[in-house]
Amino acid sequence: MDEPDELRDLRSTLHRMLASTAPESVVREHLDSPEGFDRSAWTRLATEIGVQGLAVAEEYGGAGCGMRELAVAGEELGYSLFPGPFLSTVLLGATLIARSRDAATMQALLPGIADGSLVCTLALPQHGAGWDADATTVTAVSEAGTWTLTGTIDHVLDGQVADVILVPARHDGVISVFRVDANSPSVEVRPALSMDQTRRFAHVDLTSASALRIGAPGSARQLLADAGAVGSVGLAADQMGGARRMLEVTADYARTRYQFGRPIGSFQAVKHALANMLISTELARAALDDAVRAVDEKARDMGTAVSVANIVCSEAYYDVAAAAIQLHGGIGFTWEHSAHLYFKRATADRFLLGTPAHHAQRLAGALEL
Amino acid sequence: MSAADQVERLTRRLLERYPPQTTGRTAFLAAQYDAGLTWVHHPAGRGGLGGERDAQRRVFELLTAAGAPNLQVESRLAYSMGAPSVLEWGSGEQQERYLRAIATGERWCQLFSEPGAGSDLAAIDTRAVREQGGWRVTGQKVWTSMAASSQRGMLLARTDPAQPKHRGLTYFVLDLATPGVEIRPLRQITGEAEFSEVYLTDVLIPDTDRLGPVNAGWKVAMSTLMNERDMFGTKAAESGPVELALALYRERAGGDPDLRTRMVRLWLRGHVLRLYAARAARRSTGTPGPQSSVSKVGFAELNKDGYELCLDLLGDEALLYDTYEPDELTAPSGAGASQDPRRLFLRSRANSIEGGTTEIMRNILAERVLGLPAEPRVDKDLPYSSLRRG
Repeated sequence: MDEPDELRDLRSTLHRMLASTAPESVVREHLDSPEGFDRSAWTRLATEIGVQGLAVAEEYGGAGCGMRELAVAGEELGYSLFPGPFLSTVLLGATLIARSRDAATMQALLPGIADGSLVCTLALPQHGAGWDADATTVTAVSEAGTWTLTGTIDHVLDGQVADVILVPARHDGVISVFRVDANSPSVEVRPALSMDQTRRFAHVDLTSASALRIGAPGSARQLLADAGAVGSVGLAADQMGGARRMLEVTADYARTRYQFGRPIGSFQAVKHALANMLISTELARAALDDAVRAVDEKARDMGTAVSVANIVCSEAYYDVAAAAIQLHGGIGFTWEHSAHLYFKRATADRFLLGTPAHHAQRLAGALEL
Repeated sequence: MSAADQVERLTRRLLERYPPQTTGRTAFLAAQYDAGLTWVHHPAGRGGLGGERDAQRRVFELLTAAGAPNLQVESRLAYSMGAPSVLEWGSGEQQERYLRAIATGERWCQLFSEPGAGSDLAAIDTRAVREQGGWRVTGQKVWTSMAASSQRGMLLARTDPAQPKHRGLTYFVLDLATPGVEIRPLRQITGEAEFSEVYLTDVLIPDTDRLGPVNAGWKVAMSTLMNERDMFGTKAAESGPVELALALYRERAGGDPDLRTRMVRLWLRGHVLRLYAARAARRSTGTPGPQSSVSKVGFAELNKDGYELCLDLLGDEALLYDTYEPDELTAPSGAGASQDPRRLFLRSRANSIEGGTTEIMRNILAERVLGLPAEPRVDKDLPYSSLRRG
C-alpha cells in the first residue's frame, strides 16, 4: 500500500502487535467474558503505541494526530477483529469531548482516554437507524445549579464497561450533551446479548442521575455531527480492515482447497466471486481515502464523502464476509471458523452510525433529488 | 519549479509560438511532439519529457481550451494503445518513425479479433508467411473500430502454426493502403457501422514494419491490451450515463421513491469509480496494471445500468427510436452518432464485451492480483495446427 512512512510505520507496528497480543484465539476467549475484551491488550495499545491518544491534543497526553492516523488504527483493529471500545471511546467519545472545547471536561476525561484507563461511550438512541440528536428521549433538569438526567437509552455501545456515559438530553427547548458517571447508583446498566459477539451493547436507565453539561447549551447537534463524521469514517476503516482480512483468508483457501482434483480457485465461478470481493474492496478503499481527506481538511463536501464511505464500506464488508462464508463451503458455516465472527461484525456495522439506506437518503438530499 | 509547473509553462509557450488558429494542424502537432508534450511520460526525443503520466491531463486541458487538436480524443487508439506498444517494443528507428506519425495525426486501428478468436484471442488464424523482404498475410479480422478512417492497423498474425497458440504469433504495424486490404463496414445493434470487418488477401508487409521479435507477438499484444483496458476505464468516466440520468430525473421522475433510490445509487457508483480512477492515475508509473480491470468492469456495468435507468425515466418514449439508417449515423470518425439515450442504451451493451469481456476481466483480477490458479488449459501446449476451433 502506498502511504507516507509515518503511517506505514504505525500500520505495521500495530499489525504486528495485534497479531501477537490479540490473535483470534485471544479474541475468542473474550467472546463470553464479562468485559468482552482484553484489558491488558487495551492498555498495551495505549502505553506502547498510543492508539487511544492518537487524536487527543498533546496537552492532554495525546499525539495530536488526525483522521488519517485514526483510520489506519481502525483498519488494523478491524482486520484483527479486536474487541475493545475503540469506536465508543476513541472515535466518538474523545472527538466529542475535544470538539466541545469544554476545558473542565477535557481536563477531566481526555488524559484517561489517552492512557487507556478510561472507557467512555456515547448514548444515542437509534432513530430510524439514523444518527440524530433530535431523537433523544432523555430529559435534563437543573436544580440549584446541578443537573440530573432521566430516561432510557437502548443498546448503548460498550455500556457494560463504560466509566463515563455521554448523553444527549433535552432541556429548556434545546438539546445538550451531558456526562454521567456510569458507576453512580442512579445509573442502571443492563448488558444485552449482541449478535456481533465482538461488540457489546447495554440498556442504560437514568433515574435523576447527576450529570455535568458539556459545552454550550444546545450544542448537541453540532457535537454529534462532528463526532459522527469521525466515528463513521473510523467505522468505515474497521469495515475496510475486516473486508481485507476476509478477502485474504478466502483467496488463501481457494488456492489450497482441492475438489474434483483441482484447487477450487481454478473454477471460474469461485474465481469470479473472489474477483467481485476484490473489486468491492478496492472501490471501498477509494471511498474511505476520500472521506479521510474530507474530515482532515474539514472540506465542504465532508458530509457527502462520509455518507459515500459509510454506504460503500458497509456494503463491501457485508458482501465480502457473506461471500467468504459461501466460498468456504461447510467449514465457513461452523463456529470454529472465523468467517461468522466477521460476518456478524459486518452485519452490526451496518446499523451502528446510520444504515446505508439512511446515508443514501442523506446523499439524495445533498444532490437535491 | 515543480514538474507540473514546468509542463504548464512549456505548454503555454507552445501555444504562444504556434497559435492553433494560425498554425497548420500537422505543423502544430509536430511542434508539440518536439516540445515533449505529446506523451510527457515518454523519454525526451520520443515525444516526452520523462515526466509524470498524470501531467498529460493538464496539457490536454490547456490545448483544448486554446482550440488545439487533442490526439487523445481524435486518434485515441493510436495515441493510447499504439504508442505505448511502440515505445516498449519498437526499435529506435521504429519508435521515431511511428511515434512521430501518431503524434502528427495518424490514426490507427486494432486488427486483433477474428470471427473465431474473441475472448480466446490467442486462437487467431490470420497467417503471415515469410518471403523475400517481408511477410505475405491472409485472413479476416472483425470488430475493428474506426478501420475506415485509420491509416495503419496493429495486426496480430500467426507465423508458426506448429507452435502452441500463444507462441507462434507475430505483431505487425500494417499500412492500410497496402493492396489486398479490404474494409467492410459491420452494422450493429444500434444500426450504425462503428466497426468493420477487414479482409486481408495476400497483403505484403515489409519486415521493417514488424514490431517485436518473430513469434513473440503475444507479449506485444498484451502491452497493447493493458493500455486498452486503461483507456476504456477513463473513456467511460467522461461519457456520462450519470449526468444524462440526472438530467432526465430532474425533468421527469416526479418524486417516485423507487427512481430516487436508483438515481442516488447510480450517482454513488459513478462517484466512487471516478475516485478510484483518479487514485489510480495519481499512482500510475508506466504500463497500467490489473487495477485497470477494476475500472473496466466497473464502468461497463455502470454504463449498462445507467442507460437502463435513463430508459425507465423516459417512460413510454423508450418505445421509439431515432433512426436505424446507417448513413445518417456513422460519421467518419465514429463520433458523429447521436446522443439519444435509447441509442446509448443499446450501445452500452457492448461495454462489457469490447476491450475484454467482464468475465475475462474477472479472471485477470483473480489470477494476477489474488494469485488464484489459472483455468486448466487443454490447448496450451498443443501445436496450433492440431487445435479444434470455431
